[in-house]
Amino acid sequence: MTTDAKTTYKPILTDGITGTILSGRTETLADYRAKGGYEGLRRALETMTPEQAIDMVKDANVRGRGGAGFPAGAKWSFIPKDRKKPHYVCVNADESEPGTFSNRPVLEQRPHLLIEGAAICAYATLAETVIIYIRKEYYDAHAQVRRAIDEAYAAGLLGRGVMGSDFNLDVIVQPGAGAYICGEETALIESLEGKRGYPRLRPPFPAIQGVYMCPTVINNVETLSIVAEIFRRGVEWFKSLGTEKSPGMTVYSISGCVAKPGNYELPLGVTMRELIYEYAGGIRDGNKFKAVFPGGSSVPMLFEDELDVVMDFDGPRKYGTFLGSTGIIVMDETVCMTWAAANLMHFYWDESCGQCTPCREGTNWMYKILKRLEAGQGRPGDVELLESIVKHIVGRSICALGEFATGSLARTIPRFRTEFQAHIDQQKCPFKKEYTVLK
Amino acid sequence: MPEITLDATPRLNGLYSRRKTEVDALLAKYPDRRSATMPLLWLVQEEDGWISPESQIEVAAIVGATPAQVNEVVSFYQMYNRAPVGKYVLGICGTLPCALCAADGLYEFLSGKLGIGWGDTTADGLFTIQRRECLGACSEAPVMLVNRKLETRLTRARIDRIIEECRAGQREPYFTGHRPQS
Repeated sequence: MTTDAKTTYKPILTDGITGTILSGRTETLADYRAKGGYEGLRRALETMTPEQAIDMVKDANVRGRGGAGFPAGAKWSFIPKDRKKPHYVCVNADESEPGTFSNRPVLEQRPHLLIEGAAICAYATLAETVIIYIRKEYYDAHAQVRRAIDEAYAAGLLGRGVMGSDFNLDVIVQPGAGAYICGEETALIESLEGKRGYPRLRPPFPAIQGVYMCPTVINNVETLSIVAEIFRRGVEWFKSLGTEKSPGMTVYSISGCVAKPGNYELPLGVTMRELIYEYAGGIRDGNKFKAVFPGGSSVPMLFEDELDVVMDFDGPRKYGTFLGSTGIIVMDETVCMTWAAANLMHFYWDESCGQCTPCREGTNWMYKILKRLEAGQGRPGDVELLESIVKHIVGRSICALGEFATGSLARTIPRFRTEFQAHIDQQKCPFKKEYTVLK
Repeated sequence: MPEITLDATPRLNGLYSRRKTEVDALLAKYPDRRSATMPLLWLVQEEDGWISPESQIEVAAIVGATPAQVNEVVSFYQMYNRAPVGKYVLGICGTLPCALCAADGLYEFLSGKLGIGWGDTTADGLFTIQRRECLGACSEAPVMLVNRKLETRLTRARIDRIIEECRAGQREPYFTGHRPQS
């Protein structure tokens, strides 16, 4: 990214959001309308057919911010053009990817931005019901989104005849109950039908058979917030930001061993080095950088000589990893890679839905091995065994969670093999781990 | 919407008779009643702190599912408690970004201070420690949920104060107990 773009960019999605992620103040409907809020929805309702609204999202080339980067316009265009069955829009606000906290401030502090984007999506895809699935741990987000929905109904922005048009829209908030897997779109659907969050086999895709076996669009909070801004400001504005194939902005969540962790909203295309050293204040305590997850803990790590990677949808792919959720977890030289992998494997072992064997058993085996390495009980051949399990999970599970569980090992074992091996040779963890001590 | 009839057996939790208006309003929102399962279980947990077998039978009857189908849900989602909990539930985030900022030390400190481990409740019924996975507040690590409130940038001193506030009854309890419908 050019220095110019960096210094002139002002946050749009996180506009007015206080420095910390915790709620300072929530934007009311009046605050939001003073910024031109709901004018994008009005533009869609008054000047566009649903088809034209989809074309606008296609023109802007909005790629999904939830992790996969799938073009939102294409996703919307898969919805049938007739209404033989009711259509639904689901908002994925189950933000649970470790290291990702960019949806939280939008939900808590700018709920109307999301509601407007979801309403535009519903209009474009002939839906009359939006279901916002929010993880239960986000208690404040539940309260603020519900409050904003009440405000919107009272102002005629939701309900029968939205803004005086013949478009009807209801919005429901649905709670999760602590299951990471429900961020997977078909698991989310099962969950809001009142079932266990077991991912479905595809096809059929949700666009044909989603909630209640009806056509369904599922988008991430940030994706829909971006849509609202595009309908207000225009496609050209959006495409003037970011890179050619990754237009627009995103919110990078930076955590771990940095001096200034936080959310940084920037045009796509900034490098990892800039994110860590210019925005997040560099590595804490004057330590040296060691490794980083570029897109949540489910994608392979990047290392020192790879920090100039461009953080758009395509940059990390050159290294066999992904932009994912743009949850950036930074680790410094004092961090033990085996310990980090053991921590995360507990997560995936805990969160595997248990439906298919490679993931259910694989996460359990990997967790057991990593735990014994850390406990000084590693056995000869354990490192090779881990590598073999990784190889046998990838591509063999119903959803992506199996593969996600290998994110902390896939590129890390080859890079830090001696470090993993040292746990076996010395029958102990060779690191001091001062970062585990509470102040 | 079909009429809901619940057998007057002693094994029901009594949710529907206490909170009929609220439950009916919830059911009316959904095209399919079974979608109300999770919100109803949350209503139960807000009253009781946990989901008893009796309340599972009752929720099943309300949404038109079998008790086994509701039990499947309760046993799948980690935040539904399958045993009674304390008045204050301390949900410590243990995932990597917090672990890089002393989450392990946070657990050890709290566990030592209260004399209980993961999932346990203190003998006086005041505190339960639960492990939560990433709470989505990583820039404020280490964090934990104290009932419904997120506490951030925790230190030993801050935790001492939170525990004092709980003991002094200055914080909202995790569950309300059964109240007549307002």
